[in-house]
Amino acid sequence: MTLKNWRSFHGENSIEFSVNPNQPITLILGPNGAGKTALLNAFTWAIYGEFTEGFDLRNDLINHEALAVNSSEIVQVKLVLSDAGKEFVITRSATAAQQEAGTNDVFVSIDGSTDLEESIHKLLPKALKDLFFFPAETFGIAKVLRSDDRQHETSTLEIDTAIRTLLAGDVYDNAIRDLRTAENSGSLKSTRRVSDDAIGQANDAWSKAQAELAEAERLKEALPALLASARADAERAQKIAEQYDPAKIEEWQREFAKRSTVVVTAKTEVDRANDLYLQLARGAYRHFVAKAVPAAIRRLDAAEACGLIPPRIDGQVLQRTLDEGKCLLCGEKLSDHGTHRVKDLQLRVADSATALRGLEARSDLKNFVERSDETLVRLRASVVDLASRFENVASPAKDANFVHLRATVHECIALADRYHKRAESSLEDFKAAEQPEQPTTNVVQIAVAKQLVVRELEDRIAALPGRIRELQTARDAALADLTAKSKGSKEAINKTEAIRLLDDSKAFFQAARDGLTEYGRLDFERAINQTYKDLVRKPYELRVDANFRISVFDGSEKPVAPSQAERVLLLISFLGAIARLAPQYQQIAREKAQLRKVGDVTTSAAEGFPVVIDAPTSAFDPRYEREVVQALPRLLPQIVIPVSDGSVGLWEEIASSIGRVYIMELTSKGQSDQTVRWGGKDRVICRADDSVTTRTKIVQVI
Amino acid sequence: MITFEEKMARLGAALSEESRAFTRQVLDLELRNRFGVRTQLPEEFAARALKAVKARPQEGDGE
Repeated sequence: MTLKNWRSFHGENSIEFSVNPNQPITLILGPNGAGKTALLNAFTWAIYGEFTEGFDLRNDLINHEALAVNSSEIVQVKLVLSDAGKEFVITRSATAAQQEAGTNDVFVSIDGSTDLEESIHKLLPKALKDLFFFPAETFGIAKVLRSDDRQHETSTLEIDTAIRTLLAGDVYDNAIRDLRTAENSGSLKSTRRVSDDAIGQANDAWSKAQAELAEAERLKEALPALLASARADAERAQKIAEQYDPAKIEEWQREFAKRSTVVVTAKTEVDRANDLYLQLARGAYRHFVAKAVPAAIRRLDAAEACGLIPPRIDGQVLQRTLDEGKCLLCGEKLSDHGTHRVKDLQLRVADSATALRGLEARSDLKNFVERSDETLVRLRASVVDLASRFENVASPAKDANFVHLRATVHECIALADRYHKRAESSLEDFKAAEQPEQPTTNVVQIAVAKQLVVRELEDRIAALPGRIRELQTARDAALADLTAKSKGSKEAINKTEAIRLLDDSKAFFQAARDGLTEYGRLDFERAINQTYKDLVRKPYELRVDANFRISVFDGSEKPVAPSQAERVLLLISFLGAIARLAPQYQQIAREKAQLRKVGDVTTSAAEGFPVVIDAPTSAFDPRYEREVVQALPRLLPQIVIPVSDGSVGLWEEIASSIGRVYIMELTSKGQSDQTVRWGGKDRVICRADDSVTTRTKIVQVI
Repeated sequence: MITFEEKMARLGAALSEESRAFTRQVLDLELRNRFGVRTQLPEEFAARALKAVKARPQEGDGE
């Protein structure tokens, strides 16, 4: 393998894998962050243009350092494989623009001649991608191991499909589909108006029965894929739902609602106090009026008491008195003093209309005083109520005036503001500090709905075989009826006979297809038992059910529950079994001997496809780690293992089984210099360099 | 349990000579067109089946 600017691998780096079956392991030691998973994905990208599950930043493949120096740099992975004496080369590359668009260029050659990408996929079928290139950290594939408590667990890998793919079983699938379509071909239907009613009806009944059967058979093929997809969907939805803790979310929402209510209440108090203050401010003049108006009323009262209002002497009489110079009542001549007095009096009562307005004004003023008192009483009650809401605010006196009331309200406003700000701050702190992760949609409902879809599909699939048998019987009866009624119409008879011929052939291919799965299952069961024995030498018997789920038996009829470590060993056996079967099945497919040889295939560690297992022991308890490490050389003739340098001692114990060792030397800033010991020598595995973000170099050790 | 080969041999033996020959034709065509365009195959199969039936000796033929 040659990597060029692949992720953290700067420039060109090459690895030559061990091809010695006695030393099947190529070990690639790397510290965390060096790119072990990136290396695994270099395989899947080169061969399939795809990545393993959980591999992030798929549009960020070109090494950043290389791209910074030259923006036209490309990423490239070249793999050289050999099989059956032929050399296959696949080179996949992408420019910066291509990686952004998720596209790439691929070049394939076989023994130096350009060939199609499919030729590589014939060698390494895409259906087996996740087995040949196995991210052990994601152990989700372990779901192939049967679990009684979670019967509906699914795997992204359909083993029966994978096995049929190795056996070129798609040919049988295609034949069944094409024959079914042929049976409904227009050339086998009546092309002219059927004059005989009986034949016409029989023909209609046959067509209907045939269409129903075809639909049921189509469903039988299509539904399992839908079910697998629905199960995967349901499982994803379930996982999403499980990420959230409903109790925590409920508790948080309750507390959030409580704190929000406090904020709203405090705000209401602030608004209310402000409104009251405004009302008091608007009535501020009343404070002054309360003093001025009674004084005015008192003056008007005095004027009335003096006879000025209403006037007891008419102004015109006083004028005539002055004009005539004598009193109009007694006729006595006016003295100077008298004239002066009358003039003075005239000034005061000169305008009787003004005097009347004085009376009206007094009446208005009295009314105003009365209303002011009512307003004051009402506002005082409001202020008393407001003050009662604040512990530290004294209630205003019963005779408190506007000034006193405003002072009290002012005090309330200050406190309400403070409480409001405190409540808001408390809410913000709560939101910032204690918010649990919450879904934006009702993920629980979605998970339940998806599970219902799974159940519905399971029910439909379970009912289909019986339904198909019924439809086949009905269809055969309809065909027999049509044949019987077609006597005399040679064309009709020929068509029904042609359909029978197609049907016979279809039945044969269906049996072949089902046999490939069933007898492939037997081969697989034998292979996994052999692999498991080679690995762990335990007296367990492994059984593979019709759905390719694996159960472990220890001699009794009841399956045993494997421990986590045993499950991983089973999983590695599972990988080994498929990889051991792969070359034999491909040979069978090349010989077109599927119907003769499947079911009788035996496997051994001496023959098998290579696998790349990323960090195979990462899930182990240390005491099981040694067992797995010791067992891996017995698995297959070629295994590539990127692994953390942490457990290097264990791997050195099997040094005699390791053909090649490489170190992924990581240089980065903030990193301390570190070494790893192999073969009695310290080797650099981490280098500190503040001028480099992250750079990985592959260094051959042996 | 009988092997796959035996099972398929029995199934093959149960087919008429005509059906066996036709099945071989189907398999050949499927293999030949495995990675090519296969859209015409159903019509081809229907035509071949009809042709095979028409080619049967008629009642009284050869007697």
